[in-house]
Amino acid sequence: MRSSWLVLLMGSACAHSELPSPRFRNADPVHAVNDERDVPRPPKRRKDWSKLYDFDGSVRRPLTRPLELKAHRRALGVNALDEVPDSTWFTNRIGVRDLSPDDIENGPLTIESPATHLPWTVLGIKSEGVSLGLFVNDARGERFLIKFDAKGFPELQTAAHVIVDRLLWAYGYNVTEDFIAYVRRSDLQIAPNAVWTDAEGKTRRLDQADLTARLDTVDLGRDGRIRVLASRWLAGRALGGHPGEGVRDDDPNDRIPHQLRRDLRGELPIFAWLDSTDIKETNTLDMWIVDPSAPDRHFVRHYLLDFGNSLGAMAMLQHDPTRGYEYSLDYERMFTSLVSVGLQPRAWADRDAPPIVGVGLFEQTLDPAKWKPSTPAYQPLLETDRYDWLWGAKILIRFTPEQLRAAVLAGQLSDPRATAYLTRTLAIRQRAVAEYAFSRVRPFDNFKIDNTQSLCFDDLMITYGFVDRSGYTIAAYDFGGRKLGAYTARSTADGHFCTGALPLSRARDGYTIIGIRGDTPGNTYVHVARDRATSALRVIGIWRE
Amino acid sequence: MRSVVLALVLAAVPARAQSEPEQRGEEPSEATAVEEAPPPGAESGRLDQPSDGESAARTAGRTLLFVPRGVLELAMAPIRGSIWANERYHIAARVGSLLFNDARTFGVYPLVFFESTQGVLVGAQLETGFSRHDRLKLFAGVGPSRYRVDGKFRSTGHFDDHVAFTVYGEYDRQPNARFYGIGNADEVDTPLMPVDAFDEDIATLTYYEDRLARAAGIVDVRMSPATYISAAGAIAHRGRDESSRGPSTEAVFEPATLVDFDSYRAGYGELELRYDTRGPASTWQPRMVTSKGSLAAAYGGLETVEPGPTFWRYGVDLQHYILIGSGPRVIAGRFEVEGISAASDEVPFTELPALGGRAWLRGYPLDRFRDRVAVAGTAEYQWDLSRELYASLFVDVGRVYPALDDLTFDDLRCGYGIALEGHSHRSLLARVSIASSIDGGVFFNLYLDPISEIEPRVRRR
Repeated sequence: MRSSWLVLLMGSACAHSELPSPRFRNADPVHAVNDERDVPRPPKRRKDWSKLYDFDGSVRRPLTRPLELKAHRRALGVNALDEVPDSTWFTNRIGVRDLSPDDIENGPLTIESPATHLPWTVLGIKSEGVSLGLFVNDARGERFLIKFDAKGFPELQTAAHVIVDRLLWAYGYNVTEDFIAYVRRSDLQIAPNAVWTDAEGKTRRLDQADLTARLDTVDLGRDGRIRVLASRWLAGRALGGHPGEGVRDDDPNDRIPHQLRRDLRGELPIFAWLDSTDIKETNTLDMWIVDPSAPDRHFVRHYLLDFGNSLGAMAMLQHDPTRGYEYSLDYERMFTSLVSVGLQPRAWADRDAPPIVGVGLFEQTLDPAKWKPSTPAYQPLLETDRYDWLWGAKILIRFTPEQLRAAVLAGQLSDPRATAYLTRTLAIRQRAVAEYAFSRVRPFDNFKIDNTQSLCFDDLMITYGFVDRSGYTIAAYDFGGRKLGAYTARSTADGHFCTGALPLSRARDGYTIIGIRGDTPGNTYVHVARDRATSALRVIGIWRE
Repeated sequence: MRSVVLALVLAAVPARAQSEPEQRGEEPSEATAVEEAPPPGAESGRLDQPSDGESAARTAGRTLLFVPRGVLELAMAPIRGSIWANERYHIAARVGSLLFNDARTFGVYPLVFFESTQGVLVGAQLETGFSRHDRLKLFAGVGPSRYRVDGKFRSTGHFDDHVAFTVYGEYDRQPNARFYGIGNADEVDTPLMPVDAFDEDIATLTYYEDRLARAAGIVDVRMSPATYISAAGAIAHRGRDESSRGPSTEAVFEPATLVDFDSYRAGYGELELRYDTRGPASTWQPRMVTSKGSLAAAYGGLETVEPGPTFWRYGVDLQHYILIGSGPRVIAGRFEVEGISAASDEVPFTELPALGGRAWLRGYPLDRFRDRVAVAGTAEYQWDLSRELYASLFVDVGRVYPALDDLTFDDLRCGYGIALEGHSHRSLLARVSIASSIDGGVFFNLYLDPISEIEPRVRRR
């Protein structure tokens, strides 16, 4: 594209624009942070007081939070390009490095499936949570937590768990190594010292009768085998879930309040996409681990866990179509329903999904703006703003249909219709989330300076086919906000656009701010400057309004 | 001179700003290896500090709200403490293990009932299951105005799950039972002279002590998925005395008009034909929320009172539920007629059909109206506040009549109110209602059974 800049004369250039205040260092953006500095002593384990957590999240905090008059803040933990750098919380994967469908189907797996290492030795029964979980060692000595499908719902939770595991891994989160396996009861041998904790907190020896009684509550295949989800035991010392607000005080690497972390706030789009409603602190896990490259060094790595209630499984299992649409205790909904004597619309009323084995109430219609987790307890999701939505949506829209299918295949669903339906539904919901997020903040992305000193970028609204064309208003400013030039243009058909040679400021290494506006509200400001070492022009920061 | 100074300032500003990174010494290197990467919080590359959104107004507001916030926290502290203690020390489970055996087939647990007219009844229930189909419940409770012991044994699953048996026994003592007179009269102040209980112009609140001992049995036969025949029988002994609370029934109403006031025995046998398709409209609805279907039940029974006459008791119960929207939102209609063949002045007043209380004419006190025939209808709209909480608005209309020939729409009594129902997916947890009527008064009721459940005549008071 040829340059169309209307360079302003010196006299008119004195007019200052109302530019947002952020200015960036003339440096390459940070692509990783070092939060692996040695934590010699393990931070304190956070106990799982799940009922107290539910009370605080659903009753106490909704009442007291408004009285704190906290201002909404933009997310932290982002680099100059408004992206999340790699850390112990998040590792940029899809879109940053090549991921083949096979890579996604394999996801976080680093070892062979335990299904090929039978029998398993049962060490105990998981005491937390509602569903049955067994701690087992496979024949080679690897430890797993195994979970089951609820009776009458074959393949539902195990498939949802593994599919979401693969997608979250590709997205960038740390997740467990999860396998689907089929075992017979005879493959489960009770260890001599196996124990379980009863409802009164008493430790009891696990015997065959206990195990049989529990296995009678899970779904059994027609061939007598039990389908299980085997989650590989994470290395290190478990510290419990991370707090939704604040930081772990005893982890010096944990410096950004969690409610302000972009990688946590940005989970909302992906959870809406995957209808992953069971979001709470106890479905996260921090592990104090030994640095593989320096055994005398320890740090904390942060994981997401327990995705079996995703993909509409929670709604299906609880016979509750409101999951994903309302909090369990949704005061706003209760109030509006009371005063309107029930006349307010119910978005969940027409939820529907085909009756296919392994498919939950995972429908193809999704209004991302109205999606809710089961409780408002997890603070980062309450802080999610449109910039966090944009960040999350930019990543999830990168999944190709082949990659989505690969993730669904990892769920090993027996009915090909289930695989086809889930793949198709994920693709439809993926676009719904992206379109919603992109409509709130214009998704200009992939900024680069080409060899003609033009600023090139992609308009993701066009790239992904949400709109055909757009008009742009582009203006250049110097560091102090003085306008250097401006022009209007039309987008290209493929969404890739270059501005033409930029009218650079002469001061501060050519520090120039390019403001770009599309047809929809909101400006994106791209900060460029010359690298002092090479004199090459480069993008040093992005700010969206 | 002024222009020279301005030029100097303009020249100095960019120079100072340009030198900021060097002064801070934060210019990152090219390396992105984790070892050399900046710590969390230093990745933004920004020269300015991100705004925390704080302002003087916000700080002032926060200061003002400190006290109400503290009060809220303080108020919730005991609840939080209880929840924490329960989780930490497994209190509910420990209590459960104290109350029930390991198999949960035998247990004793507390129960509380409340009704505006009768007050609180606190008691304990023993529950034991002899098998999956056989269950025994024994209850004993006391309250300020009631003492009660009852037991129920129910056995289901017989004849290919077509037949169920229930045996029932109770002793119920109410030191302050209420009697308002017979008929549909308006309530007046206590008259100065004793009056006829059948005086059409007078209804007045009086108290008596009521003692009821009864044994009953019911056989339910399921003829088809929706059709049932029930046979029921009961024997009862009823004794009455002067209440410690005034005005006394015997002092206000002429004793000669109160049939068998001191005591009587009664026997009753009944057949009921019932067609019942009520239930949730879909598996997505809580199991105990009736959102579709109908009930039509007709019954007839022979009752004998000693000393006194033998007479017929008959009646009809109709219910229909219309699902009008998701939620579910339901409009329900209920209608009942109950009558006896004997003249109202031939039988004890406690054997007369009655209206008022938690089931029919909820805006009136318990058994406010008694006569030979009772007719009542209810329209109720129920909707969801949440998955577990439901609200309903209801209007009850009805009255009692001296005879079927006297049926009229004149002088109908009308009550109205609002109810809240809490559900789990499998059961009704509790229902509370607040009701009033065109005649005034406010009545609060707490239920543990669905309002749609019809209490068998052999168990009615």
